[in-house]
Amino acid sequence: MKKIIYILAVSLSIAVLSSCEKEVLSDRSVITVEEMEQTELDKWLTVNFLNPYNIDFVYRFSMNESDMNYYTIPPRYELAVKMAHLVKYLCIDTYDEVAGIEFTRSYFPKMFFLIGEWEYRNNGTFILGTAEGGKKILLSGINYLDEYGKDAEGLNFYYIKTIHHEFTHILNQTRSYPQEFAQVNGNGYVADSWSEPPYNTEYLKNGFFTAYSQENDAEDFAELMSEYVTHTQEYWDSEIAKAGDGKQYINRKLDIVRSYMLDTWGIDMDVLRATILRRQNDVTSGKIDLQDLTIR
Amino acid sequence: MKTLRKAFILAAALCLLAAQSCLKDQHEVFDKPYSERLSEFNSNVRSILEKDGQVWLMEMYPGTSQKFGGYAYFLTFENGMVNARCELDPETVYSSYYKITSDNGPVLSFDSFNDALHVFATPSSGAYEAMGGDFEFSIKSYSDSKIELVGKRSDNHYNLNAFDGAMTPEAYLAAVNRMSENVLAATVEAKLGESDLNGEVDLDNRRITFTYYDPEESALLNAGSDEEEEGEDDGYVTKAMPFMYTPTGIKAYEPIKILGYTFSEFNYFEGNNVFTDGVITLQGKVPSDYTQYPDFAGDYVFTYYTKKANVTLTPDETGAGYIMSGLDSHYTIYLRFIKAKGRLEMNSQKIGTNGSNIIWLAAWDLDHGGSLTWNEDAGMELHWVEENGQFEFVPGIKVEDFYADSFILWETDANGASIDSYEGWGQAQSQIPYLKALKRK
Repeated sequence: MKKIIYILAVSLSIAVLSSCEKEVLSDRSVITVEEMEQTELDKWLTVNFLNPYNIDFVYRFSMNESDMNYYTIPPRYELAVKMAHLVKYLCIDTYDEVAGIEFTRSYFPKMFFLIGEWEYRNNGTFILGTAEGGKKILLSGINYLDEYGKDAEGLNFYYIKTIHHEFTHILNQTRSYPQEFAQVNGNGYVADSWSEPPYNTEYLKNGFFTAYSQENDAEDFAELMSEYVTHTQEYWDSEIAKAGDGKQYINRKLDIVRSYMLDTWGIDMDVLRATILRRQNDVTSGKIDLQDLTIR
Repeated sequence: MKTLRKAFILAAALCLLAAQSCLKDQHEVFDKPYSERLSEFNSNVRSILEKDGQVWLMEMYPGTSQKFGGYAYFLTFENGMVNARCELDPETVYSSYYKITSDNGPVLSFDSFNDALHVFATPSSGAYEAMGGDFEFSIKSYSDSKIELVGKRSDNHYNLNAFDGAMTPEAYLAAVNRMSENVLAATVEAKLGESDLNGEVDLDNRRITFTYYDPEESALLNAGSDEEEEGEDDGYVTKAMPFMYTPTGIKAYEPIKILGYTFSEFNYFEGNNVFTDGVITLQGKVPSDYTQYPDFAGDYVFTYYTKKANVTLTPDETGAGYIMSGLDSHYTIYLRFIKAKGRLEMNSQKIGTNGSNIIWLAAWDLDHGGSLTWNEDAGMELHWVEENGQFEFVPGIKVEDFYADSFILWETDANGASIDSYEGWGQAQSQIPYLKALKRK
């Protein structure tokens, strides 16, 4: 009896499996890739960003890349051209020079997204730039580049320092810095209160180089690194002189940053700084043509 | 026997399964996959937009509920570029890239900055939502003569109409600008059959708010609403008509139906202040206390509480308001001209800084305990009072239930967090209680 049941079950299963007619799949893909005409900048970016570094430099508005919590607008094309040159000359080429192209290829952020205005909050303050997961950097306020980017100070404050700052986060996320760093200021970090009195004015005395450094130790680390490499020793000393007792904390932390960069990444911060300042000077003295889209 | 029954059940179940799984009755509704149809749609729209020399007239209504009214734009498209000219700057053509792309459907995106096209979408620290303007639009339909768009931010519909008018775009926009300067009405009145139609005109925000008696419509509108909250149904209906200027008058955002009449476009006759579409005539009116913009200029004695001060009103460069000087050497006060009412308004405003902190002239409610606000829409209006021969300030509510009768100097930090009253320019100067009047010297 059992045998009959088995035979029945097996033959029916075969019938079930074989009874369906085979579907012929269409050879056409259901996905159509949009094709857009390339602008001169697109062509330049392919040669200077995409091919050598696999970096996507998005300068035309994309809803999916923008933060829906803010009202944003696209950047002016001519200023996006300038910004692309600035990112290349002041950041990418700098790291190539100091740490080698393989370092830049491996760790430098893979996407830049540009918007024309700042991201305004409803209290009148605004966001200069953000980074997402070590991959994407938002550069805002591009439409003010001519106005604020005239000198090194403005250029750094509004745009370039942000890139070095966010890049430091990426390096930290790849290989963490010593725990000791967070203990220098102990419970001196104040999270979001950094922009409020008394923290927005007393930061140097409390042992922080900028007000934002007080957010947490990761931001403190990125601020120290990015402030140090984008400023002259003269500026650094003049700020430290205002710190009073806070000086020892800043110097202690800077030592940790310095040895982390050297031991972990083989980057001498003073060489990095000298390179950045030299390149900054090339830009502000007009040696670099920021609009030249010739492909070499 | 039991086993045999089991076998039958199993066989029957398997047969059912087999029968079901083989039933293949699929029909393709469309002959091509979605993405291919979308891409075809997009490419058709692009060829229509870029058709040789075609000029498009765009009706741009920024903001939710079209709250700023509409503006005329002329656009041409070529090789992935858009050239735009708008009534705010009719003599200049601004060019930028555009794209037709797809996210949840076909989208027209002005994706690189354009001074004309992004003017209502550009935010600032004072207006973080900008004017709610759109620069990305869902494409609803297309034909050679019209492309229907919906703003992705505002949900307003924007039409692109093929323009083949006798005028050049430049002349059209100049005529639109003349019309916007000429139309002058604070209210409109009309007879629709036996019924009265009244409208309040907000010229600054290009909107007429009509009120009329229609118990049937009112009952319909009130059905389902909370009566206690809404008040008794008195049979009156209020309906807003956002509009834009045309060379001959005004055009509504969409056709509006009132008391059985449908209207959308009016010609305006400046001489008798009349709007008409041939069937309905709206009689424009200005209030008796209306003051023309230039007539505010001059030297005045400003009275407030028990005090007097000599002040001067000077028109500002843009012609949108006046600067009041003389009250205090440390600051001047800006008064905006309300065109529809022929009045000036004095609102909370930034008047100086103290380090990185902001010093505000803040609207103040002394009559009800002294609360204050630096909301820049709160303040007082100034209007002409014939019997007293002077301009007088009107205490009252202008925004968010805030009653203002006075002003006070107030300090906030750069983020707008309150600090304290500001007495750095002298204690006596830190308050302007109970504003009364400006009498010409």
